[in-house]
Amino acid sequence: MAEQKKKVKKPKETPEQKGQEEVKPNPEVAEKGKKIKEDLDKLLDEIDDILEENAEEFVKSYVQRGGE
Amino acid sequence: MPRESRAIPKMIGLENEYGCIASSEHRIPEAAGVGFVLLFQPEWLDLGRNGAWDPTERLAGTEKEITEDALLHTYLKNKNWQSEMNFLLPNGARFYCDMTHPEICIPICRNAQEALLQDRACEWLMNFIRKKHEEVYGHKYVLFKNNTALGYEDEYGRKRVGVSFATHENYLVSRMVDIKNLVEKTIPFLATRNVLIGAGVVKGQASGDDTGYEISQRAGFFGQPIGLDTTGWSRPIYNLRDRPYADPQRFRRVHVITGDANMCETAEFIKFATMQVLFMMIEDEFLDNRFTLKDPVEAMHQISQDLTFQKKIAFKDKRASRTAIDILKEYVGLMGEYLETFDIRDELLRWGIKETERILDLLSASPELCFGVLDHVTKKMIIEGRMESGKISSWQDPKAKKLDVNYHNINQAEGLFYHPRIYPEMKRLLSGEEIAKAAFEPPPTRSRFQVEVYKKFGLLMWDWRKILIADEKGHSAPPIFLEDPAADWEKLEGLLSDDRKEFLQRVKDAGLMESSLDHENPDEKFYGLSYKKGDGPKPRHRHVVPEPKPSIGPIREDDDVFWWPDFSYKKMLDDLKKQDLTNNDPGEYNDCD
Repeated sequence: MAEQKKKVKKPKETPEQKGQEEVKPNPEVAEKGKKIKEDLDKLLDEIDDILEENAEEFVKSYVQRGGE
Repeated sequence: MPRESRAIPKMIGLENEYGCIASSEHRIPEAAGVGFVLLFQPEWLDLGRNGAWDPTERLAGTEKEITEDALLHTYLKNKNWQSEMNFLLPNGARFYCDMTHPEICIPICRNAQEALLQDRACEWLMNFIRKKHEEVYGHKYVLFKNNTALGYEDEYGRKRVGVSFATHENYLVSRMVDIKNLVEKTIPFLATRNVLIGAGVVKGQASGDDTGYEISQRAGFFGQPIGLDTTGWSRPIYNLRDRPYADPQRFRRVHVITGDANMCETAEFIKFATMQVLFMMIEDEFLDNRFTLKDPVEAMHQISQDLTFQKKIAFKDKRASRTAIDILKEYVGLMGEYLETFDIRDELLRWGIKETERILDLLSASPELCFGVLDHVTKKMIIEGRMESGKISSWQDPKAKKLDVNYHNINQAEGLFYHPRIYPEMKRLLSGEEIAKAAFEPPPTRSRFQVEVYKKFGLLMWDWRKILIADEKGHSAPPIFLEDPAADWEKLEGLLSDDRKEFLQRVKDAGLMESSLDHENPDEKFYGLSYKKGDGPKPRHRHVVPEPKPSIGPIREDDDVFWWPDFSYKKMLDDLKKQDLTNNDPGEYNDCD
């Protein structure tokens, strides 16, 4: 059997041992998230209103029988 | 020193009920799916006449209570449904009509990559069939790979507010695993995983509250922790359906009904991979009961409604409650540890678990980073983006609901997910070419054998566990049983021959004409197989091999579908004829080879 990288994963401490786990926002990551949102907003602005055309009729027409 | 795994191959199945409406006028709009399946012709895919689906298979070798539930099934008696509404497709998929929905099941797959590829291949086939309906009959259908729609009004004037339909996963698990153990360890994962695999839903005008969006399409339709139902208002998180389509003494097909259909390839991939590893851990006794929740149904609902991912979920024991993301991080940490401990080298599983960890970190740090990766995030961001530019006024605006539904439209010229500006932003694991190719290429499993036999020798009757063809005299040969769902295609391929008689002899010599289920007393009623962990298998069951019907014959006027008092196939065909059908005489349709 080939030697393998020893990645010893200790069982995670449960929060009650460590104190409540709080997610602290990482500024870099938050920046990335904002950028994705901005890029998406730009992209969506370029798509014309056809996306929402005839919405009421469309929604009303999607009637189905129950399935599994 | 790694421990040796006893996990059996984690074969995967997936069933998708599509939403289906006809954009041309249709007599029964909410049942457009019936016509979509009924008028499909196998020759559109260069296939010969389809064989009947054997509905008695669902009775084989099951627990008595489950057998009784299966005996009530309408399809047991409806021969037209068996023959006219069930098709084996060129990739080994099953295409059929289930409760008015066109449903397609992927062929049996060996891993998450294959299952994802085949799900997309099935989508491709649904699109192909959709286009053929328009080309051949002038009928325009719209198909949605989602799980909810508006409810219909029945013939008594009763209106259902909303309905749900399936995306069911199937995983092969050893019968040696105690069922109670399996249930307890699976439920918490199913209740919490929606933050990863939820497809999102706009609650629309029915919601009445501000946010009007939920993470999961299906969560609201679940009301019990465990049960047999797959329909109704109170589906169970753990579904006890036990129809293994395999040797029932060795294999269990775990039928997972909680999932949403995914458009994002990554979400779907990790859905499969995490479930595979979950069941492997259970088989190898690596998982304890630390995750048992106080109220899994409530947890599932809370998690689906909590758009901040901060809601803390209570455990059954006295430990502090934790968020879904946190619980999943621990699950996935254990999964990684499991793969190391047992030295499981499977690259797809390793990647899948690492990717899930990465996604959980992204989700807790900044959900926007999951755009194109997770469906509920992607969909929400698109709708919110359109709200911000003023195109949609609120979550209650029907425009928001339209985007929600149309996200799942599989017509790539119309759908939101497939929009030419949006689709390129989605994280891809597959190419369009390999998807189109996979539509005609079953994975190297027993599914490929079924398709090859169908193409060479035609098909009289089939189900996932067996296939019946005619012998060289034109009579029905004994069924060919494929009782090992993990059977290797290469071994089965060796049995094929261009000569029918030789093929049947090879199959017989290989022992495939014997079923693990006892045939001695075909007149005895079905009764259960009792199996407890620690006991040896005790076959006390009987299985009746059904009479195969090589010829279907014309549709009879009294062939009614039970849930629909005034419905008849003939009437429907007549109606469809009036709607500009060409060359579709019922007599021709039922022509024998």
